Amino acid sequence: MRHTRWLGTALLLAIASLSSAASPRSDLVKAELLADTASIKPGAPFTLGVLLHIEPGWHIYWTNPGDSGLATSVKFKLPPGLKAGPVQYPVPMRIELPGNVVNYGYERQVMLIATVTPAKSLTIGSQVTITAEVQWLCCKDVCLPGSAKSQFTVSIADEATPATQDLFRQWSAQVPAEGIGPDISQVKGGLEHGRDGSISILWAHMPRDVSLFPAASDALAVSAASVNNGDGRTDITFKLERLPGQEPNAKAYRIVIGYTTTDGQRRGFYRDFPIRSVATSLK
Amino acid sequence: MKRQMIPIASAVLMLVSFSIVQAARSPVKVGGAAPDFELKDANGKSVKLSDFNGKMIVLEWTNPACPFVQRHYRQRTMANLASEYKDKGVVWLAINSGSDDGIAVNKAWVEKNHLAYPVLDDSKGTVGKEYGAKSTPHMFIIDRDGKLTYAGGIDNDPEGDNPHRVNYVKKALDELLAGQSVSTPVTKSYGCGVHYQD
Repeated sequence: MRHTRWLGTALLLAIASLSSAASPRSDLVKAELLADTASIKPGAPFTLGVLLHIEPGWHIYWTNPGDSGLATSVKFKLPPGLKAGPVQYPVPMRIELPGNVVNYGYERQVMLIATVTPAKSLTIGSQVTITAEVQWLCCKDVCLPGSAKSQFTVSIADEATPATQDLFRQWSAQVPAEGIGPDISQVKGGLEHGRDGSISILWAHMPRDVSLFPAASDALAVSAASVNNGDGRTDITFKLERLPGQEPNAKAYRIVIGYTTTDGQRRGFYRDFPIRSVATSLK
Repeated sequence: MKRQMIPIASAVLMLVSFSIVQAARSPVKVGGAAPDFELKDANGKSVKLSDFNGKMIVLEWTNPACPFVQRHYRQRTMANLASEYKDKGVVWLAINSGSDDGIAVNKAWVEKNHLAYPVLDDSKGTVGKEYGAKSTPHMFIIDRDGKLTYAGGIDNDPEGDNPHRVNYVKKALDELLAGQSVSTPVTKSYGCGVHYQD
């Protein structure tokens, strides 16, 4: 018995030193830059997507990674005449780990998308190269940072040429929408006494896996979140507070509600709470 | 034999239920009394928080395999802070709540980094849960009256490239040493998740 324990310790030491010596692995996540058009028409917005394939058993993170982790980031390098809007993140999954450590992220696959607006003045027949630089933290029981660059070259033409539209439709549908979609009959929400938040949903079709995903913020914190599913309805309560000594960098604080429809589709919507009505926590 | 086993069994049952109740209690909040604990350092020696009553104490949750911790240890963030404030009477204790780690892993970490502060074995996760440690690093500061006055990140720079980096622990220690209250008592911590066994 004593010999086995000693061997176990030696093995642990070996693993610990291997982990600390390991350089970031890029093979856990593969990145592919795609566009929903095979040619760019001047003045016609199109969508870029960074499709990430994640090694099974591992996960990467949403814009708010939760209790630990690091947000996945995408930077687009675009030639003059092409302007990208903000990167949009599909509704994440709630990942619960032992000890009540909660993360928000993605497993297996996710596509991050952005709308690009081409200038009307682009020259027909010219070619442009678009690059995406992605950075992530990929975790299982260890965490390994990684990065990748993906690019493609595409022509400017008289007409756009639709490409991989089903894939883009599939992932766009998972980006949280503002307010009500076809799955919801009614949403009500508010903040009482500057700290008691609530969101009440009447569903058109009762989904499963309803979860709260608060926005990343240095200045505000959500705690004591409770999701109560009833007959065709979900009532969510939570505490929202401003952290002393921190300046918020926005006027509203966004909370995403994610859910899975009865036919297995991941969907979400968001509610914004005005920050000026949030009380600062005591102490 | 049987008669003696029944009182032993019920004593064990009581102990088990007591520890389950302990674990279910919610973590200490800033402003509350910092829970005492007793953990073994890298030499197997027992260290109690109450050994340092009347002193300011920094608790640092650490994990040698975590890239965030590794970056800070390469940059000597914790080691430099610990030695700078040791001269001002501040005690620094690192705690490892990773269930797969233990004294041997902690000892290797102390030696590799030539640490002057203890790294305590909390592989059972009890103390981590009492403080609500979720990430590595996760920092807590206890004032001279034994009150928790800071909980959160080491700084506001998860990626190590923030030109406006603020070291929250240094800021809080300076305020406390000047007799002021901590202006940013709760901040968002970042890092790898603490690997609790359950």
